[in-house]
Amino acid sequence: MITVKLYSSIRKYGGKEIMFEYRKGLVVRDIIEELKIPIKEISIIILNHYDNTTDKMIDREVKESSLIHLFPPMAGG
Amino acid sequence: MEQYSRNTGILTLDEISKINETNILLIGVGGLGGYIASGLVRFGVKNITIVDFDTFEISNLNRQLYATTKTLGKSKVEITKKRLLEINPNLHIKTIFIKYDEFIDKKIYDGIDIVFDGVDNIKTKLLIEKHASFFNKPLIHGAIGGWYGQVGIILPGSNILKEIYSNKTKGIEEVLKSPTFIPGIVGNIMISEFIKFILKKDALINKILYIDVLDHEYRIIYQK
Repeated sequence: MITVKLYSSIRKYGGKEIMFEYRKGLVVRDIIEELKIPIKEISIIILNHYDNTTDKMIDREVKESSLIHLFPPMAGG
Repeated sequence: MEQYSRNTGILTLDEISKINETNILLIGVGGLGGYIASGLVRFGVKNITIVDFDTFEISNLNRQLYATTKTLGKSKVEITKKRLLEINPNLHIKTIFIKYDEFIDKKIYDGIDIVFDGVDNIKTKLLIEKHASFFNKPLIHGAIGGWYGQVGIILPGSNILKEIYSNKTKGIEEVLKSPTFIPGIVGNIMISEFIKFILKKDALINKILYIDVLDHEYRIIYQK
C-alpha cells in the first residue's frame, strides 16, 4: 500500500491520510488523478522524504510502501 | 537599554547591537506586516523602510495589529510608523505609500540588509524575490491562509518562490481567508527566524516550513 498525506485545503479531497493500493508502474500523477485532486491545487509534493514542485514530481514512479505528502500553494499576508 | 532587558536572556549585548544596526525593508504592513513591524522594533531594530499602498478598512479589524476604528481609511504605512514611534521614539522609519510593482524605485534597496515579505499575493511575492535576489538581499518569506502558514529565508539566487508558485496565481487564502490568530503566529515566527539568521544560528535558510495550527503539524516541505 501507498500512504498519501493531504494538507490544509487539499484535505477536502479525502481527509488527512489515504491508503492507496500499489500497482506496478504507478506514477504520482496516477494517484492524484484517481483521488480526483486537481493538480493545479498542489504546489509541493514530497515522495519518500524527497521534496520538489508538482511539475518535477508528477511523473515520478511510486514504489510499494511509499509515503507521499501533497501541499497546496499559500500566499496570504 | 532597559527597554530590551527582557530580550537579553537569549542574546548578548553585542548581539543586541547587531540587531539594532540592521536595516530592514518591510513590504506590506497588513496582517503579517503589522506583527513583523512590531516584532522588529520590540526586538531592537531601529532602521526600517515600510512599503504599502493600502489604507485600513473594516475587514482588516479582525487581525491587523494597527487597524482600529480610529485608523480606518488612513494609510497603513503612516499609522504603522506612528505606532512604532510610540514604542520607541528613536527609530528611523521611512514610509513609502506606493504599490509595489515592477516600476518601484529600486533605490529602496540601497543600504538594506534584509527584506521582509508581508504581501498577500503571488505576483508581488515573486517580484520581491526577483528584486531581492538581484540586489543580493536575503528575503524572509511568510504566507498565511486559514489555519495554516509558511515561513522561509530565501537567499539570493535560490528562486524558491519562483519554483513553489510556478504556474500558480492564487493560494489557499482565497478560500480559507485570514482568521484573527494566524498573522501573529506566522509573523512572529518570521521574526524569530530573522533573529536566528542575524545571529548565525540554525535558521530556515532556503527551506520552507509549513505550519498547521489546527492539527499542530510543523514540517519542512521544501529545501534547496
